[in-house]
Amino acid sequence: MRSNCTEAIGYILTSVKNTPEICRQDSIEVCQMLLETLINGNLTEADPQNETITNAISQICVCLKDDFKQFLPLFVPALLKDANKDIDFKVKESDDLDGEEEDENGRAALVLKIKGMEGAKQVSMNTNALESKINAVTILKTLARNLGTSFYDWVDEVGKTCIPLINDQYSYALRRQSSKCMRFLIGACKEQPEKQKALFIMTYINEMQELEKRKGRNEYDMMSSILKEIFKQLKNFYHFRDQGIHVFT
Amino acid sequence: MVPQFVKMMNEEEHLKMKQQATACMTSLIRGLLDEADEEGDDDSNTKNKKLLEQFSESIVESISRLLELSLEKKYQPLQDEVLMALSCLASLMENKFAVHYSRFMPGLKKIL
Repeated sequence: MRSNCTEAIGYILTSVKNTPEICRQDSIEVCQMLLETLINGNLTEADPQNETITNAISQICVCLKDDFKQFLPLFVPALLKDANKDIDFKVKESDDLDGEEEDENGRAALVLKIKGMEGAKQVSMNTNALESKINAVTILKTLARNLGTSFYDWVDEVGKTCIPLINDQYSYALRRQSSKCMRFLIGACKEQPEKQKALFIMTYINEMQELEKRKGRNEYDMMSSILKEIFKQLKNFYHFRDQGIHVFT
Repeated sequence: MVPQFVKMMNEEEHLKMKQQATACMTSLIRGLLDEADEEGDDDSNTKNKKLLEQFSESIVESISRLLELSLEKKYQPLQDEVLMALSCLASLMENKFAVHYSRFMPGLKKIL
């Protein structure tokens, strides 16, 4: 019920985002309550509140804009912890199991029997952890987009997490959201051209590696998505033209 | 369909039936939301928003009454359903929902 209530609050606050004088005080109070639950509420990994709380807080961010900065030191570390979760992908011998299964901790497993291969193999991963990772990166992206340059103080830490995720082996959603998040982090460095450049180049290297990998597999949809994202990231540098600075020298 | 669902939400005697009627309303609103998402353009969203706008007052009235009732009777299935309907309606109506803000926010904060 708390989860549904949190979701409803998020949408209702979004409806008044253009009239901050109505929602400012409520947004601050709700944000404090939600962060208290998220950080000290002993929520398990499978608790639906994890996702609804983080989503609602990102909606509150839209209402509070710059006033939301005070909550970043509490909220961002919790998101980074989720974004760095290990999905624990494993392939092991499995002769006594059959078909697909998922345990209560969200660990999904699939048993493979291939003709000619001796014995069966079990492929398993923690799907709850993967969902948490995707959700956390999506929320970080939303925060970076909504706060713009006010998010600058968190660019290093979030960037450190998101850049490697551009090449994530298991999830397209994670790669895509990480790339988008980097676009907004690059934008958040608008007032620091050198840092902005460095951040873009680090992102670009990983994106080009991913592009090569997809090219080798003839995955043209993925290639198109990467190239479009690079183009959008480069739009962050339009102001360089006025200042006579170049991205690549 | 909407007036019929609203009528059932208001007048059904059994809480379980009220819950079912609310679930139907939630599915209908979610359908409009999903359609707008799939189309991916603002026109569909505006069209669906307009479609529901004429009924929004009566839906909000029912949701508000049912939320109070479900809390009073401590009937959780109805509480959950009403909150889901509220989320979907607020999500579809966006800024048009702002007029109902003060009606729900104090109660929701209390639940939280």
